[in-house]
Amino acid sequence: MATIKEYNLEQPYWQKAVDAYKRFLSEADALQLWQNACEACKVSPKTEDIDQLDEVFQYLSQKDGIVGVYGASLKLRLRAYKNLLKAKGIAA
Amino acid sequence: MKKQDHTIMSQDPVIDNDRILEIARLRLHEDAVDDILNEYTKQAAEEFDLPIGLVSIVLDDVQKFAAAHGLGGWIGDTGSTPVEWAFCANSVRTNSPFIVENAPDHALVRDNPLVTQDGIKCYAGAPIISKNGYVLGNFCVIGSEERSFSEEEVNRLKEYAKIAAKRLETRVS
Repeated sequence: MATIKEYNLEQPYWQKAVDAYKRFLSEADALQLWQNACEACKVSPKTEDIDQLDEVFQYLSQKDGIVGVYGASLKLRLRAYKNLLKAKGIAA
Repeated sequence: MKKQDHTIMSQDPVIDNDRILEIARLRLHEDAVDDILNEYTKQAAEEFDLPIGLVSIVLDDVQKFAAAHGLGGWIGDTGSTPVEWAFCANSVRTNSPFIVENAPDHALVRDNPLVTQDGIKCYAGAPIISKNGYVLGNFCVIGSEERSFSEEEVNRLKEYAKIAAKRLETRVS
């Protein structure tokens, strides 16, 4: 997975999202939540495209409760990754 | 969806599900920035003669700035950082202020990219505690020069943190 070396920061990807949701859901339910979000955003559940991931994380961040907080975390982590790439002049 | 048993939750308070639910209750993960809290961060930064003042909310995987003064560059554009770089997460774990007088000499933060890449040298933060007793994040001031913080100054930050907690609760009442 792509990493910004000086910051040791990996690009968030779909497995990270599923792992986060597994903290309070079963693995099957976490996967289902991710698949449903991707379906709503018309994105492949295994996408590694940074803009598509952004769209799904944004979708999740708008949900109520703990799902929304975890979604906001994913969205902001990806935003940090993207802005650091930009600040360092590295193409996404 | 079936919820798992929370009794075997992680030992790390940062990812404690009940604390995260408190953040959800207060809607602190949402994008809105509070103008009044922004004024308090500016006031604190000026009072401490430091460039940066923040209200940082520690989510499970990032810290998010609910109010900020003096942030620039990629951090200002993002309004957050990954949680593993969050000085404020230390207060979530200890329920007490976190003080760094010279970051390159401090065991907990000297390898932090915000220190090695972005130049943070000093930090003082007091925990923002919700009415239900959860540490939501910190009210903090940050600088790029070594600096000590007196007991009186730490107490002042605790006062700012109490004001911030009250303000954050008011948003949803």
